Amino acid sequence: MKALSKLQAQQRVDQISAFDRELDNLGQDQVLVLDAEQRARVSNYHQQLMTELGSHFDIDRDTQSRQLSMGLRISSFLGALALAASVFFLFRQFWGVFSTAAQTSVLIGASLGTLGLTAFIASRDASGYFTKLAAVLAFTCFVLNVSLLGQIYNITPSDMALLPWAALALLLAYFCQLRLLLVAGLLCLIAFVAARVGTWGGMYWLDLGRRPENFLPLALLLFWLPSWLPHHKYDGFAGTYRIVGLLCLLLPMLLLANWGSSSYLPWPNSVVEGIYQILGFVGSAAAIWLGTRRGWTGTVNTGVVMFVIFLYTKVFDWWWELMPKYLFFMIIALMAILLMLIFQRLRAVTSSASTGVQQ
Amino acid sequence: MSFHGFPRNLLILAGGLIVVVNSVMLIGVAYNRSAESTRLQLDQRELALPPIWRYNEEDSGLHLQLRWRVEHSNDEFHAYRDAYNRLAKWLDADKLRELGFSERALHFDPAAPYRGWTSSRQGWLVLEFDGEQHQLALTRARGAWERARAARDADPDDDTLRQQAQATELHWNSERDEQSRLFAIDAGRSPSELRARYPDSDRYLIARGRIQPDWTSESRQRPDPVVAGRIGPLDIESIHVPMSLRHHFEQDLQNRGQGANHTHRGTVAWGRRYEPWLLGEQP
Repeated sequence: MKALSKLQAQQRVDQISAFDRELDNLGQDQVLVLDAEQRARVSNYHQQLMTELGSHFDIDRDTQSRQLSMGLRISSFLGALALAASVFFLFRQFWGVFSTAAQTSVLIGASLGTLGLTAFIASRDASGYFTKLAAVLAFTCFVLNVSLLGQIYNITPSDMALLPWAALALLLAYFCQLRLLLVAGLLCLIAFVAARVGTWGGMYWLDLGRRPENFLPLALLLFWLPSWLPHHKYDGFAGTYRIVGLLCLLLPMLLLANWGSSSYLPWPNSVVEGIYQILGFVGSAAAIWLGTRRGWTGTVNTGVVMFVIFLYTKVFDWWWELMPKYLFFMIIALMAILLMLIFQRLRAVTSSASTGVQQ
Repeated sequence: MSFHGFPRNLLILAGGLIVVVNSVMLIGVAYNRSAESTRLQLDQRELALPPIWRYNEEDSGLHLQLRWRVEHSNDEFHAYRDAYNRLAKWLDADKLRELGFSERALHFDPAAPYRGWTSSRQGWLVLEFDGEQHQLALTRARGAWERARAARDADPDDDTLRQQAQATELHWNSERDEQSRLFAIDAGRSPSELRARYPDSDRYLIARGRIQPDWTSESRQRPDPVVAGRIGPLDIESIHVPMSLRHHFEQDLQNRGQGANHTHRGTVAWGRRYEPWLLGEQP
């Protein structure tokens, strides 16, 4: 059996379940009836395959266990956030009663200790849920470690702190295949690059949000990264890179489309805003087109949401003051219906194209 | 140890990262504290306790806020600005150009009146402690009070003059006993250049902060608005109080909000990297 990721293994298990159900239907309709020996051979093969996949991955064999897994994932996510908040408030409550040396030791010890805990849990937790929880805790402790050490010793706040945070988040994300930490790592990286580009122009690094164009250089890189570096072994990572990259591109464009004075472009605000409005529409539409062609669901959804936001902000600018409110919302509703028709048409075209390919 | 398919190397790298980052930070602290660039003996006028709303039972840490001011105008009541809106009188267009601001950043655009806030830059500032600027502030406040008192004495029945005398007396008392003696007086592009101009390390503090071009609301109305530099917060304005020095501030912490005067003092040193640390009360 070739090397599979957990997602691929789960997809194979789902395929087997669907195949069994369809085979029953075909048998009932007398379209295809396997004899007992054939049926036993298929069943044995599937049993062996499921056992093998089950020994390597924490897979769900039926709908019920899938629902329970979803509950586990949600609990794990909420638990991770709550644990991170708890650690933050724990430090805040007690760190003032320690000497400086003790504070330093506690902070470094907490970072290393929670990393060790992650390793320990990883060695015992086949499902990975508890490992992910511990990894989020380790990342939180490291963020607190750097920021509180900076406060204790009055170190000049610097964008350089974002770099180790990004590095640890990404290392832990790849270690336990956790998209939450992947997003955290990418956000730190984006903030670092935006701050750095700003400081090259003399800007104070914490003012990074005042120049949205500083976010653009990394956006395209993040969007295309999974195309250059395949992430087959990491479920959902490629899609996450593309969504984060797309948001990193389109959100600054949305800001510049409304507040052109934040741009580096040496033209009047109205011209700058016009340029970014067009770029925003083109970028969102291109994301929808590319996502549809490549089967990137997250990219399509992000493109649709951003396209609608661009459209609505423009509609608001043009007509909110001019029109009675009932007419304004009527136009919004008509636009939504128009968009539904466009997407329905697009879906029909895509379906017929894929049917044609299959034939 | 088996990791159930989790890549062990990444965890080793993560451990190495934590050790390296902490080592770099602590070595940086040791380097900063290996020599002092400035040492100032400050008191409650410059070292403010955290406001009560921030100091709640769930935050056991203590930080002192460095209070400093800047000369804004010749107006006796509004001559100095602190905490917010520090538009510096001496930070004119030429000085801003010298600090690296472009002509575009200094040009007021009525279509984008708040563009200045997108053009902030980091700059090095000189803060004078208990020097000429403080003496000028005292002289101004005392002069205003003496003039108002003389006017009141000449016409004791005039309510307006009496109120002016009360206000100027309060202002003079505040200037003498409560207001910070630390004033931002100059800015430059490098700390070494500024230290060469202001060599007295017991009087002049060099610190990094944010500067941005701005225009007063009055100036915006004029046909040719005059740009002035607004000085933002210093990179480090909040100074940590180690547990070993906390007892110096405990009494004032207890008295906060009860109308009692604060009496705490503290010696603060700034090191090679212009980062401060509290030394306690010793000279």
